[in-house]
Amino acid sequence: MDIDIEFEQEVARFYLSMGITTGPGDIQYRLILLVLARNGEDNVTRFSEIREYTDKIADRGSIGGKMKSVFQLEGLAMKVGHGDYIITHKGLLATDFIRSTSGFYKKVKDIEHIIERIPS
Amino acid sequence: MSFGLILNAIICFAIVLATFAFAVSLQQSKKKQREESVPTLNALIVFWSLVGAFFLFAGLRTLAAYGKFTEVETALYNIGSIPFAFVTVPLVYFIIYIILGDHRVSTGVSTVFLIFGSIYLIALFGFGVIGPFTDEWGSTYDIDSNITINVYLSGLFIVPTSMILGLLLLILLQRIPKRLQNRIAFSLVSISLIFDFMLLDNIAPTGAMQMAARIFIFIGVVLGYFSYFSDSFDKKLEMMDRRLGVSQTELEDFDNEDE
Repeated sequence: MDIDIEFEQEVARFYLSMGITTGPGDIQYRLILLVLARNGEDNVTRFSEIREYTDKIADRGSIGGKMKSVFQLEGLAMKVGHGDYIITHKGLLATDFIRSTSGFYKKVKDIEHIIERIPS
Repeated sequence: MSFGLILNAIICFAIVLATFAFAVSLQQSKKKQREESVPTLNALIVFWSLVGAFFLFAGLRTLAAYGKFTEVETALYNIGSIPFAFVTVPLVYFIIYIILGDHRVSTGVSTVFLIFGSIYLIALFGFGVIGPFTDEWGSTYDIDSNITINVYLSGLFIVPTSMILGLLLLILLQRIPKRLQNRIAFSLVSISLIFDFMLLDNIAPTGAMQMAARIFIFIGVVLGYFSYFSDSFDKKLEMMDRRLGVSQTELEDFDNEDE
């Protein structure tokens, strides 16, 4: 499944505007999780794969820091080698949550568009 | 004949005035609209204009009934059937465009209703009508064909009404500002009210029922107008309140309360 960086940024901005600065409102968190989940529990995700998506929005250091301080520390991903990660079951649950936030965003936007089309 | 027919005609002309005023006001508000809402606004203008056109002929027909010009009355009934048959076309476009935002799909679906309307007219003119039956309050016709009534009920009435109610439900279930929600809901309710009572008007067996339907249609048009332009009406009322010195004073809580 392809990851749309622009759409994810849009969704993150939406949650940021609600004061949700971490999780759904954090573009780095969203992208890392989605890349890890795309490879699944059985496949290794290389750090370079994650950076393919995150380089456009953040520097290498902050992504590395996030991998350590959030993903490894909270048990969302396991480090299995130098620059190699595998998503955990907890990480997949977090991905489901992140995907549901995209769904919620789409629903809100659809309603906004419906209202915009009603003459005022 | 009786004063009832004149009253019936007056109500028709009141509906005509109200619908045309509504259509003109909507047209004038075009500049203030967002680009996305212009197609729906156009559909709404056409819808109200068709309702107005239908009642213009209905009013003239009632006057013809008062003067006992039977042939003129039948001719006006037939002419009035044209806006009546096509009133669903802008309505369906309005609803589909609001939900999907796709001009092509909306045009496609409303074209289906244009075909339905044409079939209704062909059947109506082909099989003809029986009447007029003029009584104290109005003048009615019987449609001399089950096909015509079925086409009207199934194609032109049930589906658009379901669409309006569906959109209404969709709006009511969403978390949107209350004021906006009320305005949209009232607007849809007024359209539904007019649409339903237009059906009753057309198939009413007695003049009294026709008259009652027209009163409800008039209420629906006024409701529709205020649902759109209630903001400016509110401001005017507020201004009048201030000029007359009758505006309400908000009483503040007593400061030295123990609790």
